[in-house]
Amino acid sequence: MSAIKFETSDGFTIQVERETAVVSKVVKNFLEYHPTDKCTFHLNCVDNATLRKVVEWMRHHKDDAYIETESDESDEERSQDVSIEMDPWDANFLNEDLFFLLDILNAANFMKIKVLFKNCCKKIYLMSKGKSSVEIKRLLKERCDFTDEDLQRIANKYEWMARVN
Amino acid sequence: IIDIIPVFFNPLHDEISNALRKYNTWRCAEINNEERNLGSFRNEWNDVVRKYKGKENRSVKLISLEEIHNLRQRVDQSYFVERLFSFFVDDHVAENNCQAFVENDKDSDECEEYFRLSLDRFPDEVLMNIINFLPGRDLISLRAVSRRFKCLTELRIKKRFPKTLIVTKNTLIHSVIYTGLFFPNIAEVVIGKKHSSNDFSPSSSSISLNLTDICDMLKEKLHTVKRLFIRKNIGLIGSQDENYLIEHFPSLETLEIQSIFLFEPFENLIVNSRSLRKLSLIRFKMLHTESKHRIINLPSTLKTLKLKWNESKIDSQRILLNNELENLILFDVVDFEDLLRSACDKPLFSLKKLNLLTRRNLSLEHAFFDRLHSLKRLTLFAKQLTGTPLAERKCFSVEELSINIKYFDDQVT
Repeated sequence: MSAIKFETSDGFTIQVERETAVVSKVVKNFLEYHPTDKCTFHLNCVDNATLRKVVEWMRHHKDDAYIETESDESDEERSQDVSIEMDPWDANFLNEDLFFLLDILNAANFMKIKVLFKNCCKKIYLMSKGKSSVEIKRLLKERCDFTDEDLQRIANKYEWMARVN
Repeated sequence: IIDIIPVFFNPLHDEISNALRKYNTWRCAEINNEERNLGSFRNEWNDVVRKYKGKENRSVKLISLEEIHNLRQRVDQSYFVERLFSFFVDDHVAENNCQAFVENDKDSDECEEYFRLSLDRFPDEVLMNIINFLPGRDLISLRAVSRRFKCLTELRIKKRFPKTLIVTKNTLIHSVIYTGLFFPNIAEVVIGKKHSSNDFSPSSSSISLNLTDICDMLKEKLHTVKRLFIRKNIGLIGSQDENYLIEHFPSLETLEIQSIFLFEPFENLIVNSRSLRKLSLIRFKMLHTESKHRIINLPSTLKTLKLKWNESKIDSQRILLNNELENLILFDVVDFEDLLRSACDKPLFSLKKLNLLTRRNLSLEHAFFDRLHSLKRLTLFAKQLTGTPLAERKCFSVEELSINIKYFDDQVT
């Protein structure tokens, strides 16, 4: 059985069976144009822990029909798909801390695994849903580069939102 | 993985250091640097190669100055590059006594930890996918997190909360009410399409809703409106109180009226508006009623006045230009010379741009041109220039002159 190797940014190599590896669109497209039994993909922005998690997800979903049929969407289409329903296994699988989730998201983006990518987005959305800007700032560890005046202006602009249900 | 090592000579040290700070950002890209001819530095180069070759998966390459320049240009295109510089430091470089990197190296653990736990390493397209799921209220919260999130959420917010109310012949009363209920920050109201009919008769009105209806439905919601465009005869509102419009649109900054009679409510809106900065009157007619002799004194806040294609004579005595006007555009206005003549009593010190466009002859006879002391840009489009030659006019301040004359007359032009 042919196997595909992934080399992570921290120097590890993980061997994955071909039918699992082709869940990644990058691998699938490459193998379509360059049929080979052995090849190594260098994932420069994915570390070992993240890749292991992604591979686990790929193994679980390798037989799913919707993974096969997923197509390239435009941004417009993507923005319209805002359903937050998620497979329960995925929901449980993605119960990780935010920054590990972001690593998985980045890896899914890099390896073009749309379903995993979308599910990570949904999970992160659920984490930040209903939070105030201060809470989101704390959650995302984002540096606030606004002055007090800026913040006041932004608050005033959408002040009516507080009044509308 | 390709490493670039700056061990060569001092004059190039800074250049190479800077390039090194940047090259990490496109680590993922395939970069094939060819070995360059190094002349007398060949031996030193060989030492470096020997020292580092075979370690991990690294190879040692030298880069030329041209390439450094090229690298810089490419790296500068990445918005997130500045942050990345400080977080990725190469051990190899530090070992080679590059001070800048040695300093950075001390904090590299902290920096890398911070970087791992920051969103800076995620490109916008990734974050946009998360933002797409957020409902309106969360978008507003996210807006106040940082500048980056403000930019990212801007597009979604604009789509989610429209600020423009457009009323066309197909607009139903329900949609206006809906807009008023759910989008209270309306900034712009557009009535009619841009190229609407030139017919003034009330019967030609194809808009089912008139302005009075809209005002009645939205009431105080219109207080936030800054731009009002009326491009269609929307039915008579002359029977209304003359302060009707100014009460509904107190924050108006831009007003464009097209194919319409100037009734008292409109005149009042223009004269009494406290923040009107731009006024465009296109294919308009002045109403000759008992208020015929009433003077439309343009507000002092008005900076731009555009009159276009009026088909009847403007009673020039009725429109008084203000001193603060900076931009005046007269486009095929029948009696614009009268208007200019009436402005001759005023110094018009602030006027910076003047555009006179007509299909007829343009006379430079009157003293108007002598009063434009701060005019910077003058545009004249006409069939022919007549009267006093332009050179004799005191338009010394003009920096930009654009003239398009069908029948060119050397002496005058």
